[in-house]
Amino acid sequence: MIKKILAELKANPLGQLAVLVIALVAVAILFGPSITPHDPEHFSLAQRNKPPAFLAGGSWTYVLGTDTHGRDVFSRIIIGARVSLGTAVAGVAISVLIGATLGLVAGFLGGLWDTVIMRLVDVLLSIPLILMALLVVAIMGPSTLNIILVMGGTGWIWHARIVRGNALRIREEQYVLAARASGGRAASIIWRHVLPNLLAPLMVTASMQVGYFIILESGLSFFGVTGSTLSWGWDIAFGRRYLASAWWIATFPGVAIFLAVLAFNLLGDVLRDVADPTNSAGRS
Amino acid sequence: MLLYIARRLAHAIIVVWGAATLVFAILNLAPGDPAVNLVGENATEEKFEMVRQALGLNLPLHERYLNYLGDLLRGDLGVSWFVGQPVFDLLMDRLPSTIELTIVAALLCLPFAIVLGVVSALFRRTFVDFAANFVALFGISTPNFWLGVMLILLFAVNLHWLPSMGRGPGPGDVLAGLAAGDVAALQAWASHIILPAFTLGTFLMALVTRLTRTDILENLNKPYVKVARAKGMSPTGVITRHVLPNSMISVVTFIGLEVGALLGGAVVTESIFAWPGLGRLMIDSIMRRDFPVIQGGVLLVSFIFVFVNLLVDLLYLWLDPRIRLR
Repeated sequence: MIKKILAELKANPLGQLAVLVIALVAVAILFGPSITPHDPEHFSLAQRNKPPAFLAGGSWTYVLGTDTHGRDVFSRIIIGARVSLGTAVAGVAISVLIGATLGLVAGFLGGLWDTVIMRLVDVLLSIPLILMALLVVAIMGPSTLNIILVMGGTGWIWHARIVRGNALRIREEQYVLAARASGGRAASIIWRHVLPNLLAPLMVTASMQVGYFIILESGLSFFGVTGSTLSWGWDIAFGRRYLASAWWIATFPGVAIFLAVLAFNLLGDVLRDVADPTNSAGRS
Repeated sequence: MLLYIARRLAHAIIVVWGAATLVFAILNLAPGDPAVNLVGENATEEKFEMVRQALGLNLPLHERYLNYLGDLLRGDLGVSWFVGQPVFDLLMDRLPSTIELTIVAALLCLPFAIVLGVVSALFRRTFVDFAANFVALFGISTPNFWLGVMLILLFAVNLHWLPSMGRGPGPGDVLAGLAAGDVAALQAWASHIILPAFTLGTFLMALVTRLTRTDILENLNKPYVKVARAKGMSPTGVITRHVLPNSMISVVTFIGLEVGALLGGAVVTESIFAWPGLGRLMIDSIMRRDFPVIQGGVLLVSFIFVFVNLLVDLLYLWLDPRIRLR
């Protein structure tokens, strides 16, 4: 699997770009405070609204400029990666866990289990995720844990549908029938024959969902319901008020979100091409 | 066939009931007493009790739930705790402008997306395909709230071409103006709606571009295309007469499923552009914990989603004889 992914990456420059961006984000998360040029929360009246380095009046001390309180935009982006990405990845992990479990239950046990789980999927599908998330976070209280819980509590439907579909298909495959006929227990059949086959499609949806959840978390921060004041979304909301005088405050955190989400979408494409070579035409 | 329709209707009712129950559970199992939020922390005990009594908050949970369902069945969505107006009136007041925004967004983006998808499938692995793929990736990866802010920065703050917020005259006024030979209303309407509609539509545009491309490519490999070509049909004819109609079935289904995402996007877009629609009403109500409006709003959104998908399924019946005859 890893070999195949590496081979695919070798032939796919966009995939390489994705890996590069994800690596940069990983560095930002791991070494955050020790690599920021400035303290992201340091107010400085003397350094207010400095434009980015490439504009007249900008300096390389503040590469991407400073905000209305004199805080360094670049340093805030580096530290903001922790909130946005950390939350998204945790949310996806829970989603995959719940989704894979319920999808397997629905696909293999069928009957009432299948009906109840799929109706639950339909219910969650009918309520827009951002509305649900705003509702839960605003009512239950602003905390990262609540955001992760609402991501996991709703995002599982992505994976459940895919796992269920695959489980229904795999259940009828010759090798599973053979394993069952030779007396294999359900749990061991799932573990040895079904899960390995689900790994590839799950990696694809998980990768795409990381991107989706980064946008969701930023959106919640943008609306100011997360309680966090150091995240990409919050900075955009803050900078929005100063568009006329300091456009860079709202612009660069958005570029960071865009690049991170793009990277996970591109990675998802690479993984899909590996998982399903027939679909690799034109890298869509 | 009647049985099929009946089954689909029952399914729709179950989903809406599920959504109503879910929201009720979230609101009522959340920590904190909503009455405190209403009367303030420093209110007297009597006033506090009075509010609880008036809103039925002193009843046990299951009784509240049954009352809520009972009211729903009678078509009663309750009264807003803050505005004092019936929730139904509040929602209906806002619904038209959200529908207007959503439809304009779809009309603005879908034709473009479908053309882009078809072209990139036909000219697969050429520069056109690559560019279309890039546009699609751009649309999927851009957060709509940021896109909205950037559009305001460019077209309102810097270029002064378009207003940054608010809604222009309604469609009725535009039509009346046009009937009188006056395009001012139309211009005002368009200048207000174009930025929010574009912000809302980009994501859908990206998804539909990708879907159309994949679907057309899949259809091109099917035997019926070979048959049509073999009997001497021109390549263009095969595409327009056979492949496109087939692909459009899956595109329509997909758009039905994305109605939820569109309405969710409307929540965000309306709040950025101060568009007086359902989405803003929902955000405001969530922020001030106006439970009846939140419940009614989520119910309405879920209902719209289910209703649109029911329509899509029935459309299927009509479009696809294989389903109709089963």
